[in-house]
Amino acid sequence: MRIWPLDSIKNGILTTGFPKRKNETISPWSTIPEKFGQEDVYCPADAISPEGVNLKKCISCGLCSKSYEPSLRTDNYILQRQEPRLRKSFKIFTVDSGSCGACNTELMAIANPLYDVSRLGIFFTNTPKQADAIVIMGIYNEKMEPVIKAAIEAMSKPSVVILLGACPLSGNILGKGIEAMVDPDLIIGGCPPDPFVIIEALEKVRGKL
Amino acid sequence: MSGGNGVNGFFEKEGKYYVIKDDSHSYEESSREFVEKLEIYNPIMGIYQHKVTGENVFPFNYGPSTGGMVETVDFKIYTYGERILSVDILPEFKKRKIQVSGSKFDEAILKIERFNGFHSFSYSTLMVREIEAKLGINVDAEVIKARITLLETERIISHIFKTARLCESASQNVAAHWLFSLREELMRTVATLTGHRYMFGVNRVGGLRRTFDYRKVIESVNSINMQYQKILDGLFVSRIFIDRIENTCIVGEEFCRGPTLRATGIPYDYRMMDPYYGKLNFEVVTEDGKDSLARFLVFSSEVSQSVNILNQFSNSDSFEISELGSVENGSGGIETPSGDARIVLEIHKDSISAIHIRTPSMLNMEAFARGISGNVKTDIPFAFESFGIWICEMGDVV
Repeated sequence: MRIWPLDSIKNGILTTGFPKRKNETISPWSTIPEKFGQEDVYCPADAISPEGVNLKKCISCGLCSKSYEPSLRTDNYILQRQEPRLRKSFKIFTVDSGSCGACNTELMAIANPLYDVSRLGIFFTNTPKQADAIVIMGIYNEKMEPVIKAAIEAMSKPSVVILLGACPLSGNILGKGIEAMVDPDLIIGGCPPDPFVIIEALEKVRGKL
Repeated sequence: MSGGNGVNGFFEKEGKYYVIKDDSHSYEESSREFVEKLEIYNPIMGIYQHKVTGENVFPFNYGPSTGGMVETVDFKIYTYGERILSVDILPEFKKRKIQVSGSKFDEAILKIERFNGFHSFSYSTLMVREIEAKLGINVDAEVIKARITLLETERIISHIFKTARLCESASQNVAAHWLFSLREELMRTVATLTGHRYMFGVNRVGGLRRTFDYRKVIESVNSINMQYQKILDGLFVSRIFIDRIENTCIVGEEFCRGPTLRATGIPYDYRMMDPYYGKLNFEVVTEDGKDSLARFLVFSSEVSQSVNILNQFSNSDSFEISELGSVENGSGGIETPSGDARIVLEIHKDSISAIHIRTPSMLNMEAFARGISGNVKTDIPFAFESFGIWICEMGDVV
């Protein structure tokens, strides 16, 4: 018979030291691409302009690889407002408005032992009443509009609204975004964003970085 | 949403049939002939209504947005206390309508990858193969090996995730965390080698957009499988775990697809007919229990089968495939981790002109709705997880 706690001790600590230490890995094309060549490339999401790659529109497909390469950076987000009052404990409520499931599982991944965000004081909650942050994923869906508004309304203050992934930011190549419907404090790009990017962004919005 | 004739539920008592009208909690006597004509459920249309009523029966809403579920779905549970008499399932809150017809091949593939991101490579391969068959393109054995590697790796990742979610719901948190770690390790390998954790942007018509050494993925898969088997050894001797999921949510064969169907004893796996799998040897895993435990056993045994498949061609250069034919108006299929998905596709020059898709979750949801009746409310989380249902793939692709 296996005694799991003993096995766990034998395995040692698997959890990352991020953000104090450097991230061990990253999903390359989930990071914002950087230009290295001059060849014209096709972008199905219309994310590329002379100014660079639009984080809100980029769908991490890599079709631009002839002239662009993944930056491998973890700063694939835009912070609109910090809420330092949430430094000590940060409870997240998630809402899926119409996603493909990838953002949902990437957000869940930050709680697995390799990331273990509970060490940073970040937890998930099943009700918006107890939440400090609402994370919205997926494209705009008429039926979810009242659900999202009710969830934001139900949150105690102070709290923050976060949009996760290309779908809520621009609608991806599938539909309409939901940025116009809510007033986000933090937007995180990527399709889907890498867990390390999510962790850094969450730490930033609560004023810990 | 009504099943027709203003009726949204029915039940039988002492040989008499009763129907429940829309917006009503009372019932009236009817006939068997009338009930048989009702379209109360229609999985292909996303209708899963099973309303019942009776003394002290009330609908209890779970959803649409709750932290306990991975995706948005609303369960309307009919109960008089703890026991579930019946359940209506409303998946339409996050229903998406994805416009694929009219898109050029590259864009269509990107869209179908995002139909179900968790099984993106299965869906992109389903579409890509159908286009290749219509264009008469035969890809070489190395591309097929790479595609099978990613298909089976996606299956392993998905099955580990499902078994982890099942353990988590059944309060086996140590095992659940270990399993989530294994999934994470495998996803990191996939990301490093293919450029994306969910394999987005890897597939294309005629080959792969990003080449990678599939042998390295198989090495990692073997290492993960050894650890996975150790965790299973621990779970299989846990009476608490077995008792919790045994006899929970027993289903018949109707509507089931994939591992759910195989857990009812039916040895149906689309890979047996899939030309890619040609002469590769593997067993179709079946169980007879029809309950959450049987589905768990199928999920976990299929991980070993997938590793077995990958090892066969990684150790051999004489890998043979049946030749894919050129089909003008055919319908293709693929065994996704949740079951077989089917596609009917029409193309015009370099674009998709029409597309129809049937996914396993559309049918498995009806099987879940039927199976959960008679269980208690606390059974819902792990009963649901044992089906491998993804709400995202219950949307429309037009």
